Amino acid sequence: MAAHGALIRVLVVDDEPPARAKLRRWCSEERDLEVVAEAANGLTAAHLIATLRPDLVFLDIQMPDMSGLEVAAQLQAGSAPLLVFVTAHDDHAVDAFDLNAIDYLLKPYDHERFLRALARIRQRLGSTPREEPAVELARSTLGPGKRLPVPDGDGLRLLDVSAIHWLEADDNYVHVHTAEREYLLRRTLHDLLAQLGEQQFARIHRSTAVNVAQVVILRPTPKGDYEVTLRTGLTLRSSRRYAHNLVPPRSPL
Amino acid sequence: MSRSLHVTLIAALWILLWVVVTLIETAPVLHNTRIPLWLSLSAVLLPIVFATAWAAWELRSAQFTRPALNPPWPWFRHHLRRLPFFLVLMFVATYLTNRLLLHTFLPLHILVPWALLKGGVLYCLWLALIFSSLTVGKMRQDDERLLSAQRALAEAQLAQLQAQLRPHFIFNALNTVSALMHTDIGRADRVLAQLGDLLRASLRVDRRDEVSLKEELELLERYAGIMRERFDGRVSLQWDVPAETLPARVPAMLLQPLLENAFKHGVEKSSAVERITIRAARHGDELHIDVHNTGPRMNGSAAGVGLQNCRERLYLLYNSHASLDVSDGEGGGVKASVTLPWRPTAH
Repeated sequence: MAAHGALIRVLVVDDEPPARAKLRRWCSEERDLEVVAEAANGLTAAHLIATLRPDLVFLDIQMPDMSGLEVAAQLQAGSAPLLVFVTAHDDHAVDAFDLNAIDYLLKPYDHERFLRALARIRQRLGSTPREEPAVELARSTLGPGKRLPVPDGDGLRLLDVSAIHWLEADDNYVHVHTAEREYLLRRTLHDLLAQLGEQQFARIHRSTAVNVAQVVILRPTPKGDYEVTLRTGLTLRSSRRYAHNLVPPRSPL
Repeated sequence: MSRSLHVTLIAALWILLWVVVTLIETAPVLHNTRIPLWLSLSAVLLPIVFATAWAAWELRSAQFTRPALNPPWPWFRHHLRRLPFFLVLMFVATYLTNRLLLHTFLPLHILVPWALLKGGVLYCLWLALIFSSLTVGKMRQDDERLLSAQRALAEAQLAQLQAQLRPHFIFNALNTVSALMHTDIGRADRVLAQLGDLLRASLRVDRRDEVSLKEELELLERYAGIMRERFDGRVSLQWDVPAETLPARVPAMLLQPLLENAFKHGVEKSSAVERITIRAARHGDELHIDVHNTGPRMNGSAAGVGLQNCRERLYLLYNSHASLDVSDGEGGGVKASVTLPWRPTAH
């Protein structure tokens, strides 16, 4: 964290080399900033944020693979780095940035504007609790997530969300189960469900959520719980507390 | 003017006309008390009934509902051709009135010219009234049509300008300059000059509709130059344009949106190094121009505003003699193909 003396670790993300060079140069002129890495596309950015845990990310919006907004949406709300969106787009996203006090730089920008954004960032890094409204905004702008970057070997791969069968919480991790294999994400189940949307995934237990499209059988048990059978034949248990997520409450007759 | 209003107006004019005729016909009653008023009125009644029945039948014709008044002669010719029929009708009405009501057995050599003269004058008066009412209506309609055509033209020009140089492109190019000038003044300068050329050309488009392929390609190279700076090392461009095609006339800035699409969907969406090929060839009296980019294939149909604009422009300039097709390219990526009629520039 950016306590006195500590360096603010910065990740620069832009698919255009000159734009990256400019940010790197200006960051290196600041004593309290250290550029730890650069990324030329969204997927690399998501991977570097997960592995290097930077304090601050300058995030271009229009990029190959994953847009800057998609990168932001898949960050764990609450422990995400501070984001500064960098864009040439002057559209409704920018209006939303203004409304939600989200830092951004409109291309082209000069040194003064860069410094002004940095001043706000320093202020926010110093204050507790730290809020990062950019993750929430990116999620509400994009709607329910369609693609999810998951760890695969040394890097990340983009997983089609409809290919996910069910999710299993494991402390601060989530096991993402697909037909072929499972992936381990460093996210809370609550946060992942907030990104993927409740239309697509229903929580059936404190630590389990299913892809609604995969559910084929719902069988009540004598204890008042439900057994949820997926297309693959796998049966999961739904606790009474979460049963209403799949079964609409019976109206009193 | 709406159809019902049109019919109402014609009916009103018709009634007015016959009121005038009735007033004239009944004028003798004022001097000659021997003829009762009802008799004079009923003498006019039969011609009115006959003529109205005829007019009601006539009103269904397209010459009344959708008249073509420019030039006016065909309209008059059409209606004058019906004059004999009307005259016969008027003669029969007058004859029957004379025989049955008035019992005045006027000799035919007086009755015939009198009835024909009266009918003819009446008919011409009627035509003149209808013609002037139609003309006024049509003038107003023409005004409205001209106004909406002008509005559509202005909107099309604006859309064209926006399709040619999207603000997004300009801002990104400016950002590239802003980034380059800290490290390489020469390159920054070059991007600025290229951007200047593009802006100048896009402002000039409405003044000059067509340019030679050579000029168009020079402009395209400027655009490509800026994009190459932005996507340093991520794209290679290949120009396959035989010298014989260079004098061909092409719509100004037609190809730029196609190249822009190639960058947008090919280069910007891909992390790999992509290739864009611009190819021109003459086949008989047709000029073919292809812009082919490697990279992702098409996602759904190609129905962007830019392409729509290009197609509309081609249609306005060449009618159906030109076309623009966008499809998946052989060996991946997307290919946009333009076919134009071969027209070399003078000299």
